[in-house]
Formats: sequence, C-alpha cells, structure tokens
Amino acid sequence: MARADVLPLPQRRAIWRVMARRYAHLPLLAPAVAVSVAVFWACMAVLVVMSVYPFLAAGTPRFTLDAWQRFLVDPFYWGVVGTTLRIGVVVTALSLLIGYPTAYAMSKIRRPGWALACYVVLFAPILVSVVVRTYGWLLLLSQTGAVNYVLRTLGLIGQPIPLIFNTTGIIIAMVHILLPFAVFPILSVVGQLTSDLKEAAMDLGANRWQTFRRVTLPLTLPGVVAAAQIVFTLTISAFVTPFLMGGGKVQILSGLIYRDMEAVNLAFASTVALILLALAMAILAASNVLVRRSYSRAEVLRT
Amino acid sequence: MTLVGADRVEDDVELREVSKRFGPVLAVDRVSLQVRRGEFFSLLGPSGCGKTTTLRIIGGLEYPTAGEVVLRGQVVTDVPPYRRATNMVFQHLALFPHLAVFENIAFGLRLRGLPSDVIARKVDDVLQLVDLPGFGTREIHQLSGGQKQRVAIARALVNEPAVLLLDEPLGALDLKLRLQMQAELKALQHRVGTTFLYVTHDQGEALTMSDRIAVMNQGRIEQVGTSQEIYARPQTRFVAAFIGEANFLEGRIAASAPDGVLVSVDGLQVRVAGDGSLPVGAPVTVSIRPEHVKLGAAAAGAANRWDGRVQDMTFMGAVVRATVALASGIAVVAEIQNDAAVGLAPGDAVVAGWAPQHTVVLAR
Repeated sequence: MARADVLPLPQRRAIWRVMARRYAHLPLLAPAVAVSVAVFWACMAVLVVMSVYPFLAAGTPRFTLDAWQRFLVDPFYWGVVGTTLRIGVVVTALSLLIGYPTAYAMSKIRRPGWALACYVVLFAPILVSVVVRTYGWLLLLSQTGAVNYVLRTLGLIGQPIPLIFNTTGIIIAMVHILLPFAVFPILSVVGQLTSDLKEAAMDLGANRWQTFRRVTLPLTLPGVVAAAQIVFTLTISAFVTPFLMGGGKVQILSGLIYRDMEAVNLAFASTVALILLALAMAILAASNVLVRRSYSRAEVLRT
Repeated sequence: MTLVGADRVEDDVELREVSKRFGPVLAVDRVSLQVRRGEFFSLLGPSGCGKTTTLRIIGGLEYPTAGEVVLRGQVVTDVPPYRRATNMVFQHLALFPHLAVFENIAFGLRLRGLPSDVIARKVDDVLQLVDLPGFGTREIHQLSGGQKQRVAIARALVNEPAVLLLDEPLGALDLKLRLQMQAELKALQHRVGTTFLYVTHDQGEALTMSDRIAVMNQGRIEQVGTSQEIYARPQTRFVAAFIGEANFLEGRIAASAPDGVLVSVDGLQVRVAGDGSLPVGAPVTVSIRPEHVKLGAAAAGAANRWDGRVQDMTFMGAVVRATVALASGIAVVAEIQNDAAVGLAPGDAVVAGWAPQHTVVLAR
C-alpha cells in the first residue's frame, strides 16, 4: 500500500485499471453467492444447531446428542441408508446405460428438424409435474396396469409381477424422470468429440468397440461423471417419487425426514437431513478424486 | 490371394477406376493409378479436387462408389480400415489428447497384442527416428507444432505400413518450419524406405519432395509424372497453369515442320519442337514458361523471335517480370535475371523470343 502511494500518479492509475479489469467479474458472482450463503449455508447452520438443541423452538435449549446417537446405533437406520444408496446407485447406472447411447445418437443427428424433435421428446416430460408423472407410472405398473397386461398377454409371466410399492417401481420411475439430466451433460461432451480421433483409432487397428473403449469413452468421461453425480444426488434426495412409488413400504432417508417433520421431531429430522447431505458430499468428493487423474488430460483437450 | 505378374508386385497401391459420389457431387471420377514400392508419390491439386477423398479411400475411411483398391496385390476394397496395412498422418494430426506421447505411438502396437518389451523397444526406436528421443512421457499439449507433427508420423510409421498416407500434414505449420519438415520428411522416407502417399495443394511442396506426382482436378487425374515431366511437359492446360506459371497463346496447327509443328497464333507462326500428333487445323493452346522468354540480345538465337515493346516491369528480387507486347497485340510475360533487365524500361522497343523446345502444345 505504502509503495503504491510513492508511485507517480499515472502508474498508480494503471495499477488500478489492471485491478479493476482483473476483478471485474466479481459483481457477476454476487447474486449467486448471496443466495447460496443466505439460503443454503445459513439453513445448514440452523440444521446443525437444531439437531443438538431439540427444544430450541420451545425456548428451553439444552445440548444433547440423543438424535445423532439414536440414528448411528440403530441398525434400522443403517438399513435405510443402505436402501437409499442402493436405489441411487442402480438409478445412476441405468440412467447412464440408457443416457449414453441416447446422447451419442443425438450428437450424430445432422438435420436440425430431427435434432429438435429429439430434444422435445426427451426434455418435454420435465415440463410435466413430477407428481403427475409418478401417478402415470403407478397406473402403468400396477397389477392391472398396461405393463403387466402386455407381459401376461405375451405369455411371459403367469401372475402379475409387483412393480409398484417396492424399489423396482421407484427405480423405474426415477430413471424416467432423471434421464434428461443424464443425457444433457453427456451430450455436451460427446458433441465436441471430433470424428478424426475415432478415424485415427480405426486407422491404427482399433475396431468399433476398441475405438469406443480406448478413445471415445475416456474422452467423454468428464460428461459421464457429471451426469452420474447429478443423477445420483437427485435420486438420493428425491422425495415425491419414492414416496408415491414406494407406497410407504420402502424406507429411504428423505422419507425419514418427512416422517419426523410430521411428528415435530425436529432434532431427528435435522440429523437425517445432515446425514443425507454428508453422504451426497462424500460420494461427490470420492468420485471427483477417483476420476480426476483419468480425465485431467481430457480437460486439456478442450482448452 | 491371387497370382499376379511380377510387374504388379512392385506396386504397393493400385487404384482401378475408383469413383466416389457424395450426393450430387462426384468427388473422385474414375481414378486409376499405381504407386510403386518405396516411392514418394504425391497427389497434387486445388482444394476440392478429390485428392483427400482418394487418400481416404486407400486408407479405408471412405468406401468407393465404384472401382477397386489394391494393396500389395490384394484387393482390399471391402476391408475395413483397422485391418488394412495402411496408416495415415491426418491433416489435423488427430493425436489422442488423453494419452502421453508413448501411449499415442504404442496405440497400434497394443491393439496387435505385442509384448510390452517389444512395444517399448519399437516406440523408443521410432522416437529416435523422428528425432524425439526421451519424449515418451510428455503430454501432447506440452509439444510444439513441429513436435506434434513428428509424433503423428511416428505413431503411423511404428506400425510398419505398406504405405504411409499423409493428408496435408504440414498445412498448419508456418513457412519456415514447413520447409524444414519437408526436408526431414523426405530424408525420413529415404531412411525407412516406406512408400509415402502424400496429399498437398502446394505445388512447391510436391515438386521438391516427390518421386512422382499425380495432378488432380475436379475428381480426375490430369497427369502423372516426375516433377520435371510435370513442369516441363504439361499435358493439359490445367497442369501448365497449376504448376508454376505460363503464357498461354490460343492458335491452330498451321503445318508440320521438320522437327515439330508450326502453330499460327494471330498471324504469328510459332515453332514447337516434338512430334506433331495433332492434325493441321486443330485448335491448340501454346504454353511458354515466363523464364524461357528471353529479351534483347539473349533472344538472338531463338527460332521464335519477334519485335515488341515493354509494357510493364515488376522488380521481384532476383528476377524481374516484364510484360512485352508483340506485334498483333499479343502480350507475353518474361521472367529475366535482374542484371539482364538493366537499361530496360517500360516503352522501350525490345526483341522477345523463346526456343521451340521450351514451347508446349496443348490440345484444346
């Protein structure tokens, strides 16, 4: 500071200009930072406080770890964590398996009309309420629904198979709802892949599968990871679809939060919410660390 | 495999009446050519002439609409690129950004399932060959343009292809580096003895590097020959205009002379050396390179010699270009050494002439 003062005026002005240019983008961040700090991090802090001061609202705060202890020692709650993670993993895997080929095919469409049609078909369901879509799936998948009817008519099954009020139903509906969130990040990366890298691989002796395995997949991995992270976090924190499709028979973490909020058991609800958050963050961090090495080179490609 | 004649075995690549149609566009039009073993062969032509498509057909990256591709005596038209004994150096190199230099070069060897010690030795050898020893651990983005170029060549060469296909690989480099890489590429080809099939739109590049050149235009091969043949004996007006520069005079065959033909051009009788296979009266174009047009005393012995007047002079460094208007209004461009141009100025009367053996007759 003192040194800047001894500089002649034109130079001081030049320094200010450089600083102004360097930090000119900061005001653009302000709204997002403000919302994030006020709504998210402040609420998180409140959650932490509420999970250890159960009677804060009643005006008799008393520090206790009862809620945390109850969650962590009861195997039932670990089972709920397991179910939640299992649904998250299966939905993520299925969304990627369906979403990757979809994104790949969409990137190949050259006619603008057809590309637009694809986007509309894939993304239009987002415009329909999740509740409406979930009830649609309940109709389709029920014992007397269209899916069981077709399977029985074709003679593939003798008795209707239970597709709702269990994890199968949750998984089917979640994959449908979250598929656009898997396709979009992959599409944005696959679209940047130039055909000459694939041609180079084939020229060097790679058949189609080897080309995919050794060139296309590694170079599109950043998009796949982004898609997986989005789908996974949305799945484990989803409430409406698991609640309706599970029919109260499948316990997941978001259902626990709802149950304890209804019962005005705020300390336990806060604890479950924080555990859900911790799980999501831990899995995101782990996946980031795992793939960073493999795709740090691919990042360079796009700079 | 079929039995083939001894002369056929000498060819590494043969195209038989190959055509490629993209919708309404005929990109390659009945192209036939033979590339001999160990040859540096160039496909030269303006952009859009079909040279890259022809190269990609040989590499298997395009499927021809008609015709056959033969590699070392075997028809490979239906063989996919990954089972062809060709390797390509792509125009934009197409190095794998997610792999280091070593893995880029080892890509083809790994797919062939070679043991890792053999792969390591081959990669080291080829890095030595392209003058990049110890570069195996570098990432692609750490390399300069010229180094990327060499890695791309190494990645293709390490597979020991029957023919190395090069698609304008020097196009992205600046002039100085391009000239250096031309010399290195030619020297490399000499060392390894692999057949090189080189696509370029740069006539200078093709003339300096190639053993033989095929000049292409609008999907067809106009002429195949050595650099000297293509330059000194162009067979079509396109070749004469595309390679170097030329004066074109429109005329008709007037008579056959003892050692050539006489062409009448707007009243001038131009002597042309060589066998006159064209009938008297046939419309022709006469082509003369500017450096063969002599002015003043230098034109004294020339059989084609007329009085004219200097219209315009342009100093170009080592040479001076002078436009001379002959009687009857024909203008020819002469390129003369700058010391021979001393004392010459626009408006001066001057004699211009050229020898019959430097005059080429092209059928119209």
